[in-house]
Amino acid sequence: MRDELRARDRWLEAAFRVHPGELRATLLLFLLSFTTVGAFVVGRAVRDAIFLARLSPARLPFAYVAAAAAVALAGAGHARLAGRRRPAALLAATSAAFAVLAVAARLAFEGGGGQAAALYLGVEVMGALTVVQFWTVASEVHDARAARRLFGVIGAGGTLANVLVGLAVRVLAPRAGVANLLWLCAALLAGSAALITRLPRPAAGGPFRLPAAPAPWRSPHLRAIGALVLLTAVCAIFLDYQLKSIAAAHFRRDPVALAAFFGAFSGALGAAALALQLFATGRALERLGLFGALFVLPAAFGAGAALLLVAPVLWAAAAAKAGEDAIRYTVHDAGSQILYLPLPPRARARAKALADGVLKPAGIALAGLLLAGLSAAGASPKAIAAATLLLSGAWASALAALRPRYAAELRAALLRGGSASGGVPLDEPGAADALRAALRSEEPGPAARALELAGLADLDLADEALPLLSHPDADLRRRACDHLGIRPRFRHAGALLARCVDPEPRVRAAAARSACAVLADEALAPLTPLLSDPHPAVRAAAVEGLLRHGGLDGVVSAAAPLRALCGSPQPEDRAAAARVLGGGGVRGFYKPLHALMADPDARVRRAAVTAAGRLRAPELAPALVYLLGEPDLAGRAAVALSAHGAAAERVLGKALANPREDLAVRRAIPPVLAGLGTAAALERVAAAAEDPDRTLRLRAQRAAAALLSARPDLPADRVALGRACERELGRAWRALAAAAGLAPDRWREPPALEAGDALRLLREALREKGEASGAAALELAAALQPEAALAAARLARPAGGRQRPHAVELLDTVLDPRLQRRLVPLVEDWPAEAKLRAAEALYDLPRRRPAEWVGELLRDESGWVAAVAAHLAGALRLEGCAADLAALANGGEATAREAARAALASWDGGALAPREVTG
Amino acid sequence: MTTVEKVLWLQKLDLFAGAPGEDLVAVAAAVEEVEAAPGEVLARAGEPGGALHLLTEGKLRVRSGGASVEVPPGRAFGALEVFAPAPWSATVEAAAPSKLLRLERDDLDGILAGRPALARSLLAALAARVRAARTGSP
Repeated sequence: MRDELRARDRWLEAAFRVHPGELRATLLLFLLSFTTVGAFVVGRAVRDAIFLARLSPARLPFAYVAAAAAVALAGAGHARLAGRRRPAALLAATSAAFAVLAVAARLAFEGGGGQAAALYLGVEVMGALTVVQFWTVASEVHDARAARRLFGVIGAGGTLANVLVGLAVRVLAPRAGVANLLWLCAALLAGSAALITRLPRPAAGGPFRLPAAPAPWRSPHLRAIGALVLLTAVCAIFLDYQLKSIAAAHFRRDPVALAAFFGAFSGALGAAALALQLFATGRALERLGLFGALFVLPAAFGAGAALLLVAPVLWAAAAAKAGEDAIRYTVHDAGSQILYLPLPPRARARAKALADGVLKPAGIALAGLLLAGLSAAGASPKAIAAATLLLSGAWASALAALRPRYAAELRAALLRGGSASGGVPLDEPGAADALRAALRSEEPGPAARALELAGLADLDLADEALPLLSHPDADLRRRACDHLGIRPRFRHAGALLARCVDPEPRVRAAAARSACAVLADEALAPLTPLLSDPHPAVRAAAVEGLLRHGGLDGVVSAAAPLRALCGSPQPEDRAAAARVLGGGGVRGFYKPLHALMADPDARVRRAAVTAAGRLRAPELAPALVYLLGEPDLAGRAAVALSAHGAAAERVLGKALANPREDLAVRRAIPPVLAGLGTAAALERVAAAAEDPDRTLRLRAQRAAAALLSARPDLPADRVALGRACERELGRAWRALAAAAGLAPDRWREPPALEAGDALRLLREALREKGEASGAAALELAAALQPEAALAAARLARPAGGRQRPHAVELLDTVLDPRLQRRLVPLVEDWPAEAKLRAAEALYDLPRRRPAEWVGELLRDESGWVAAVAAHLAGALRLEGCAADLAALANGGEATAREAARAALASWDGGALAPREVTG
Repeated sequence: MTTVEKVLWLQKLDLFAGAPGEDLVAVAAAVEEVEAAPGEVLARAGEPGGALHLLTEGKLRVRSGGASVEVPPGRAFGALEVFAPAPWSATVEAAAPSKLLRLERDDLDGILAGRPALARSLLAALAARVRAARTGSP
């Protein structure tokens, strides 16, 4: 368990949400973000300066269009390649190639206009490709949950590059010359290529061969992302256009004033974005949720556009653009990368390449065309602001539509990881033929399994089973007899009667049962000799067959042998009698079965309880309920009661609701009621969902959850169940807080030796208690909000596996916000301290000294926790706990009582033990 | 010995190290405290075995094929026999006044029914033993 952090880890966790074990990869990605974005910043400065110096600014619009086309072409090529190469390898190759190109460009640079244009396009393509590839690499390294916390910090590398590399360009350009800055660009790109080799490789090993992915545009999720990318690009250009046109008018196109304004604006924006990126992005994604965080940008756009609609002046345009830029490059960029994470790697790489390499430039080009049209039509800044407002509304709608698709994609990711069944379903075409072939093979093993499967799948293979009646293998002969009794046919009677004299008793017994089924009331004469068979199982089978199928004469003839079996001194005979009574199907015969349920021999009792489930006589239900409290019979009694169906419901419910009833019986009832699947059963288990007894309460909660999940149509008090879910979560959080409060580093002197073992055991007990409460609450939450069911099922798996982050992400996306805030941090793979910080505002989680926790845990509702706390209090001689120990010694559960008494007795020979301790 | 103390002893065994504490309470309730005088034979080679013995105090001597080794508290024998009865492969006797916890096979069977987490942890421990035996690591 990762719940104890060193000081450095604690600081990293608190400041940047970087958990232990994530530091190296996060730092490398931060640096990679710095070098990747830094190279683009340098390249952009060089190309702009050279372009504007060598060519007329009037050529700039053509450059925009050409750049968009070049990026789109390169993006399409990259999208094809992205599905075939590992993203890290692709980024390394792209970075190295552009480093070489930068060096070549510098060496070949002569200052011609053609070179300036080529440089313009090359830098644009380099920036688009490397940034897309960088985020694809980051998505491979971190899962969806870690991405929420870390993409902000990682993206801060790029923001820092904007500030620092931008400053460096300003300082170096006058000294070294603009063209020589290409060396810096090449160095940063080479740095990227070198850093990639240090990154941890994703878990999948071996040659890189990703499974084929469908075309991105076929996925509704990806189409929705595409719409979002397009709208983001269009809105961003609209706002950018407004700032520039308003600034140009404000400064009367004075280049010095404009440069000063944009310089100051850019510097302030970079610093703000860096702070936002480092300290707010991760938190925003965690607290607002992915879609809450993604809604911030269209909201900012809308607010900025509304401001411009009211006041189309410079400060309003600057504020709108600053807000948009700061959010877009931080919270929005980090959040939008998470949208791709549920996709399979190949689809993810292609989709990212298409979105950023094709759709984004297409959006920019579209915005340019729209703006050209609006300008030509003489649209005022207010009109453009109104258009921006409309576009931000469309964007918010697109986001709202994306949410269910994202959840669906997460579900698909979870299902993709589900273990594929190795076998062929029996209802598939060909299954029956396969079983027939196995029977014809007459190999004892395959043929026996085929008969077993045929019975389970209700397949009629009687004709194929008939020859097996004379097979040398006795077990196969028995199975064949049994199979012929499932769909009785008179033409099989002769073959079955021939087996009634089989040398093997179990074959004779099976033949007797099936022959009775085939011959019905004509079975009495041929079966009569078997009523005096030396083997009790054969006698019992003949009696059972006659009772079930032999009509009145059969019942009369079977009565005496049955009575003899019931009263036999041999337990085997009585057990056989119990089986006959269960299989005979005569409900009026419940009394002898009731007597056998209390037989002194355990084997007979077990057979009788099982038979009671087959007979389903309502009169036996109360006796079966009481057997739920007997460990060796509880399982069979539960199955028998489930077979009774609604007839057992009233008696089960009454016992469950009665606090004076045996607790062992009450605790066993909820799962049985859950199996009945009725509205009344749900009502009864839901009523016990807040029972004071912890074991009963948890079982009732899980039973209610199982019932509601299986039958969502049943009426239920969902508010009460939701309340029970929240309270159980509160208990889980408190157990976690107590375990953290008892961590060895919280003690002035950490307990050692025996007390150290006891402390470890106590913290384990608290962890287990918290996990049990959390699991019950998760099941209830999934039952109340079925969209979360798949995630809950995946999280319930012992190890959780690789799919755990997707499952948590799905929970985070589909649960209602109130439950999401309480439940999701509990199932996160975070250190305890980070989890507790997330829950502090929601639950009253006290901070206590370790000894105070021990004192409180002596009063814990879990007898096991209280017992271990008592043991620890005794080992540490926590004399302040004496009163609580004394109370526990007199009134706790047996294990806790014993531990409290031992603790008190160990102190000065029991001198501290209060006098009222008895026994 | 209290139930908590028995659980602490049981957790020293690799078999139970990963088992949930509350499940081990059931195991602790089923174990029997046994005392053995020096020289008392607890298991004889070739005779049927079917119980787990965990030494909590004293010392045991294990004899097999003429060789003999003494084992300290915290060690156990019969960890496999408690799952599948088999003749003891060695003779075990007390080398000093000793106390042991004994768990019978039938009792373990009853405890495992309905405790999947305990069963899973036992399987994991057995798998680790098989792996260790295969790789020759201790």
